[in-house]
Amino acid sequence: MNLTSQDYQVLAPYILLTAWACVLLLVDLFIPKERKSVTALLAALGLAVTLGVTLSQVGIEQVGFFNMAALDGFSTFVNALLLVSGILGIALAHGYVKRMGIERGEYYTLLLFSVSGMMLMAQATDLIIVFIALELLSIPLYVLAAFARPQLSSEEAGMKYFLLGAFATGFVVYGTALVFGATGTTSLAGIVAAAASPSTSTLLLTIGAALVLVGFGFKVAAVPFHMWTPDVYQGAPTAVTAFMASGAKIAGFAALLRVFATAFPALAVDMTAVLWALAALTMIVGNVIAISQTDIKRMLAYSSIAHAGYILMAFVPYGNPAVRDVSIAAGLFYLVAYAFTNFGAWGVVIALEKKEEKGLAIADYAGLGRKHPLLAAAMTVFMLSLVGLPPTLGLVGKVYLFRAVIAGGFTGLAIIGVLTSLISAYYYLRVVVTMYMKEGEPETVRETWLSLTTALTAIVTVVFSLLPQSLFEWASTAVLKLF
Amino acid sequence: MQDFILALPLLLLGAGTLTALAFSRSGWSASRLGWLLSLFALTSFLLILYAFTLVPSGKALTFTLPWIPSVGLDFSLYLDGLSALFALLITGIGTLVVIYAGQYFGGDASAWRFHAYTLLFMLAMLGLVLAGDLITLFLFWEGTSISSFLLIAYKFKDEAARKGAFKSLFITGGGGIAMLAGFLFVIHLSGGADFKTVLASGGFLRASPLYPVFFALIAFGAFTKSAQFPAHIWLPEAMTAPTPASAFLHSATMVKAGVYLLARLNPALGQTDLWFWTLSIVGLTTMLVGAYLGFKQNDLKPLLAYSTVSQLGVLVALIGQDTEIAFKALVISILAHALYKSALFMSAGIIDHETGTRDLRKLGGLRRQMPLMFGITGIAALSMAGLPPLFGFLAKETLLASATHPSLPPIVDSLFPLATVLAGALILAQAALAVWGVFLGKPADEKHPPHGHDPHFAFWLAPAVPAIISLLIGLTPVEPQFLVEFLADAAKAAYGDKVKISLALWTGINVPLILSIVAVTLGSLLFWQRERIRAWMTDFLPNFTTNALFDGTVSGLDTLSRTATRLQGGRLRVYLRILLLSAIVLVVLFNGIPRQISLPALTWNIEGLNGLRMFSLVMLTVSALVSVFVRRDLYAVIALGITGLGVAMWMALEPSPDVALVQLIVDILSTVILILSLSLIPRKLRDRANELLHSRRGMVRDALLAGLAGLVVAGLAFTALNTRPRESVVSPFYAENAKPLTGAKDIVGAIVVDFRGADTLMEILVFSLAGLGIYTLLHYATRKSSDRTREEPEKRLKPNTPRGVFNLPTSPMLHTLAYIMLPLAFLLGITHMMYGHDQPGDGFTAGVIISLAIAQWYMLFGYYETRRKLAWLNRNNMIAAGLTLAVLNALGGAVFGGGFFSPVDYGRMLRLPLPPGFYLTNSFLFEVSIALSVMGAATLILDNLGHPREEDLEADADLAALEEKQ
Repeated sequence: MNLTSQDYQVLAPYILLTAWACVLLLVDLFIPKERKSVTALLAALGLAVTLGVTLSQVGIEQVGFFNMAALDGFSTFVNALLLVSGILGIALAHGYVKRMGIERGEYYTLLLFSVSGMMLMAQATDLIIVFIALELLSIPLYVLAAFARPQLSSEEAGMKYFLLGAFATGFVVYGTALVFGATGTTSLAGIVAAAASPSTSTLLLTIGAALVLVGFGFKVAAVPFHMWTPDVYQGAPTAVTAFMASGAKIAGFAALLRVFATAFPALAVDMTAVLWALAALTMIVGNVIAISQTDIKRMLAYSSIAHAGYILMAFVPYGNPAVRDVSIAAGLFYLVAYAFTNFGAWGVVIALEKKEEKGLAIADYAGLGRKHPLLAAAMTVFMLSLVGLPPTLGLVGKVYLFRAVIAGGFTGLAIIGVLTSLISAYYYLRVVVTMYMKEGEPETVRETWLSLTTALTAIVTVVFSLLPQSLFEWASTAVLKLF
Repeated sequence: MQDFILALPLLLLGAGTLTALAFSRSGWSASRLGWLLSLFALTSFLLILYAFTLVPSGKALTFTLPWIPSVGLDFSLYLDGLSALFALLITGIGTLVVIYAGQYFGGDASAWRFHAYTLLFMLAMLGLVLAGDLITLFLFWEGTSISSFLLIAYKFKDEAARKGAFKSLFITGGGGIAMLAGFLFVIHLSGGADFKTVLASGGFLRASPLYPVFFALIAFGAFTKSAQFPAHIWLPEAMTAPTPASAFLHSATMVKAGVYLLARLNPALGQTDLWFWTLSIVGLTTMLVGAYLGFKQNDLKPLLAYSTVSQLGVLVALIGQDTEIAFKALVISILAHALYKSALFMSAGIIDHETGTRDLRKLGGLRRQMPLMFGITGIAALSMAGLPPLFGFLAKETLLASATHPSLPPIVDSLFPLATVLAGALILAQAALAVWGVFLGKPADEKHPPHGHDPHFAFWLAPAVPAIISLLIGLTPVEPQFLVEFLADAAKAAYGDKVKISLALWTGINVPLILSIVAVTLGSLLFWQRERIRAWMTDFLPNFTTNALFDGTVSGLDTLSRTATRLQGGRLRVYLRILLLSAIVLVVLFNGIPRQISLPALTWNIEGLNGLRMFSLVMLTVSALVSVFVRRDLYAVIALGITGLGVAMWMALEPSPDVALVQLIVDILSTVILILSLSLIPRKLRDRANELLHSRRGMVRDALLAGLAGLVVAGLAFTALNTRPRESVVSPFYAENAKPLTGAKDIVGAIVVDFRGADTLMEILVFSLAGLGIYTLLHYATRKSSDRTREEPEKRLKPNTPRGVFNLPTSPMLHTLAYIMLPLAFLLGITHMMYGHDQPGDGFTAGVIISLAIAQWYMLFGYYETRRKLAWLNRNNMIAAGLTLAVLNALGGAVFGGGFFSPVDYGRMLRLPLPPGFYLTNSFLFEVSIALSVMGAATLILDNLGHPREEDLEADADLAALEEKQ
């Protein structure tokens, strides 16, 4: 049972980040209460260093820890995205927690732990590790959701997320147990091998997979496992929501991809039908309900559900080797587009939010176009990106995605996607119209890091849409050796 | 680099936009800036003209810039006859509009914004018609939607304007999305996005079974953009825009985008029955509806807008035809309409600007005050009416010729001319209405006639240019050869084959001419009887507005959305129900459990069912039932605990002692934690919740759901038993390898600390994290709310009457027990750690057992007593120590053994005298670290939960309010 340096290399980013978080937990004790910015800075530094390590791993393909974790193009891609999300999450939170009076060092430590769990999720090649990673990323999020305690809505958000999340995790465990029962192994490669042998019970394997799907569906907020999303997104402190909406989704999709695409190709026929239905339902329900929302946080929550549906579309043809690579690369690309747009949009929400949950109605955005033209322009970019209109990353993402879905032969799904995008134009554009055409005196806060984040994400959303080539190539190579 | 010239006009317009922005603070008047910016537009016009001379007749000039080569997407431009026709109209009229807008806003120094938007829009529009592939076209397509929104929203006064702007943005922007999807189908099928590929694969595209799908999507996009019925509602509403914008957007540019797209794709997608019928029906309906609605208007701008709608219908219907003459009519109509409509819009703006109103009922008799405007408007209106010798006459003649073409199918061959004549008559009446209402008739209010005079040169120049061109084309005795060739080129690109064009007004007495005379007569009649007919129309005929359809769809969606939101009421129980149900559905759907259960195959084997197993089964079932039906939550928790014990007992009989042990202690610990948590919730609130929980309807529903879930799980268990291999595939491996590889006799112990040691390390991390989380949440809140109560209880309560959980007094008997149990628990825990490798039990159970003993103290003595008596228990240190020890220990393996985590026997290494059976290995240390962190986290949880709360005033108030409501 010897471990070599290769093993450490595989999990180096994860180990580094976890260790950093542990150290930060101790260091934070010595940082006086009014100087918690230092903790934030240290946490961001940790993420940045880890990002450096991750980027240095581009191109390395290895397995380690007795086939329990893998380092490959896919994990590097996802890890990089997660780390960037973490940094953006801290940048958004820094001023926000101070302003809302909930600044505590633990915030950043928990966020680091959560990111490390997400990274582990992307690298796990064993169902046990998947489960541990799921817990590691979830528990800090439960706590963070309730971080504005004793504010009731936040408390409720944390409670709901925790209870429902625990329930969903239970499904993952149960499913894992059934898969283990069917194949006698929890290693993904082992499952593939066992599924090929005739003595394995396909039935048990399928049920196990179905239950695991429930758990992942919950994490990515796919309908019908989405019920928690609006309540939690609305109740949680906005900075947490911003991080959760991107991070948890990325990690959930990474796991979904890793587990289903690599371990259950044998079940592709059944799974494709189920994923098809889930994607369609998610797009329809998310977009339709978003129409009647008047609260921006709730609207974005439903929008996040809807986008889970779009990304799910990329997974539908995973059993078809001809289009699989392109399709999943498109899914990854869309995740990137979504992450940046999402952070930007939440950044604007944070800029307008005031204490005691004021300033969160869509009507509060009236007059933003006149009073803060730059902020309104940024928000316009994000809204356009969420609809999938030029010149934004969201459009490029949607073009790739729909192309892949059409190439996979899922005409019906593509049409549902289009119709729901049309519906989504209705509520996103309404925000734009409110900003530019309604009279109002919105007040915003000016915080350096917040403004920087919003500006940066807006620029990335526009510029990368004009030059998406390198990003798309990276996504394509990321999925190359996955299967 | 010759083809780079195609990109130049776009760059130029981009530069123009930036220039406008750069002059934002210059204080330049709108007119001065307008003159400057018109140079950009004019140069673009000339550049395109020059570029077109480079294009060999019937061919195209292309310019390609790789965008995403790996997916075969480029940014490309394409210039042929068709795009040149549109591009020249856009930049030509654009130049005039920029000058005109400068005069319109006059000295307004803040109009730079409007100029910037106009140039941006021109850029998007020009890009749209110059686009060389479908994706580039889409980019600019949506660009026009967005920039036109900026123009429409430039000045707004009321809610209606906002709604109009939103509607136009949503309808045109949304249509673009559908169109994009259609494009993606086309790209997928034809294998490329550029027009050369697409147009070359026409036969293949038309034969595809997906043809109806992408045709519908693309047509939807084109129809919404070109304001075809029933999507025509946005165009009149967009008239809230400043007039220069209307003149530009709604005469030659934005609304023609759909027409351009259909014409462009006609060679690839056209010439099918579906194409013919859809375009004809939609186009002709739009033509009639637009003409009809226009005749009812009193405001000049909506009147012109509806006649535009009508004209767009004509163009769409023409593209639907598969005849040469139709495409001849198409190009002539496009040109004629762009000329007279822009002139009319700009004139309307001048009239509005000078007199302050556009209402035909208030205007009248202005021919003396504004003779020049009368002339310009008159010429343009004559062209609109389709009277000779103007260009509009030619357009109408060719249109009628195409409507009476012999190749039309039956029924249609009489309907087409009929509809065209009717629409022609209505349009003529409208043109007359406009001229008469403004310049000739008497003003409605004789005492207050409208005042106005001709504007200065630059203002009237803009409408005069297109009006005069309309006149010149009609009047020239010799056909201008370059124009004929140019139009023939454009028509050929749209038709896909050669089209012969002639611009002769007089072609002899034929059917079109006769129909034209009928239309003129009918139109004059309509105008003569306008008062009566319009009154009658208003009273009896419907409005043909599909606003109701649009609003209905939107509000229908909204209602649907609200209904669906109701499920999202915030109640956790509902969420859980949905989650559970969908999981059940998923499992059942996935594999049809019922399929697998074939009852005859069942063999009941009750041999192994001895008394103890029977007992544990009964205990399990009964306590599970009790936990559901008992009314008090506390009892339910206890019953649930008993269920757990039943499972533990079953496991012990199996025999798998390790699992039984863990199950037993975890079960007890969670029961304790549950009880402590319950004690935190005010009694009243709990009672209330229990009542709600046990309402009859809820009981039935929950029983059904629980029964269903139970059945599914039972089915699962059954299939699992039936289908999995009898012999474990895993156990033999561990049984064989545990001793030789790890030195452990207990397989479970070996798995936990050796085989999956890294997992365990991560797991204790997770467990500690949970403790940290709870601490973070509870600790801060406690400090906030209990600053006051912190010391008080200790003063109030005598030390010898400690109060336990729920603030109940506890008996001294139990206290003694607790004193004895704690050291015993430590002893037991230490044994577990020492012999965990060979016996059931390990560091985890050790930690939990000790925690349980501590929990007992919290239950019996209450928080303050316990904290006082067990002050040495510092949970934070324990967690830190546990985690640090775990890592150090693993590193120890690297130092003394074969690597991180590899086994090392320190006892043998240091030759320590140790009791038999106990080995001081790093496995043991690992067990210790596990125990420490588990203990730390568990006591952290207990400590925070056991902390008494002050009365929750807020919750009580809520409760009182609830009770009052009932």
